[in-house]
Amino acid sequence: MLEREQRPLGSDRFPSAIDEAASRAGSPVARRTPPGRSPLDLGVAAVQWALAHSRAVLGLVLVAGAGAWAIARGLTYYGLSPVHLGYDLDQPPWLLLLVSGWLWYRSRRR
Amino acid sequence: MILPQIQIARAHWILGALFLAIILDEYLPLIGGDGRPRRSPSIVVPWALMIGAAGVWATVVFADVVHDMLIHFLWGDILFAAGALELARRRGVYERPWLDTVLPLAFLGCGILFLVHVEVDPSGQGAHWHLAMGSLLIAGGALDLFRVLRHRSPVVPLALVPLMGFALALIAIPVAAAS
Repeated sequence: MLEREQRPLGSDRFPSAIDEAASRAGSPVARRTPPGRSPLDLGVAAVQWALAHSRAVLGLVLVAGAGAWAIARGLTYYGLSPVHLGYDLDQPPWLLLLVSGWLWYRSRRR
Repeated sequence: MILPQIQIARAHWILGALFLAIILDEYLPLIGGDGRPRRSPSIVVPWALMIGAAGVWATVVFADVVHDMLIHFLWGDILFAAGALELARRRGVYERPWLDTVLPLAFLGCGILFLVHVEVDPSGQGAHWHLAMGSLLIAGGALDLFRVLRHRSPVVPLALVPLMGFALALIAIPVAAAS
């Protein structure tokens, strides 16, 4: 067990199995776009960009899914009192929007 | 005290959203200050697991069927143990190589309990949902366990797909199927 002063803070890094590949995907080499690249190269670069920014991409997908769900199934309106607002916000499309908001908040650069 | 079915369904939706937030934060890379993606170092994930465990344990109080009480009690135990071990690991107070397998094993254990739930009550209204959710959890746990044991390091682990499927199924579970 580590002494208190030796322990990493909650915001410190900890070893991770996916760090190495994650770093490779977002490395300057992966992000460089030399002129005259083929559509295949551009497609690969787009996939790499989407993987590296997957939080923002999935956040958008969740927003779209929540919108489609709300339109297809409808949202019940319970009322403006605190309890009723709780009922309004725990409906599945709203929950997807909340998760999306959390994901966008956690996707910001640190 | 027995809750109305709509309240039980609401609890499932909220736990599903919590689980979706946990796995997305855990498995999706984060853009660091240097512009490069890295894994989230958050301790929110283990805390969320333990909060989820408390929510699942609450079912033991409100459930009206014995097997529901037992299965939810065991789910809560697994989630709390996994959350506590992950929290200890991320704070650096307890470091062992086997701690890497805690999350995959927790997913596997919870998935197996879903199948036990179906086996005990095969004619229940939510049997098909429970079967699908258990299979997705087992697939996610097995894929992640394979990744950890083989020291693979993809940008986005494949296990995220079945785990997201499980979370979305929990969010979308119909009122009649929630138990």
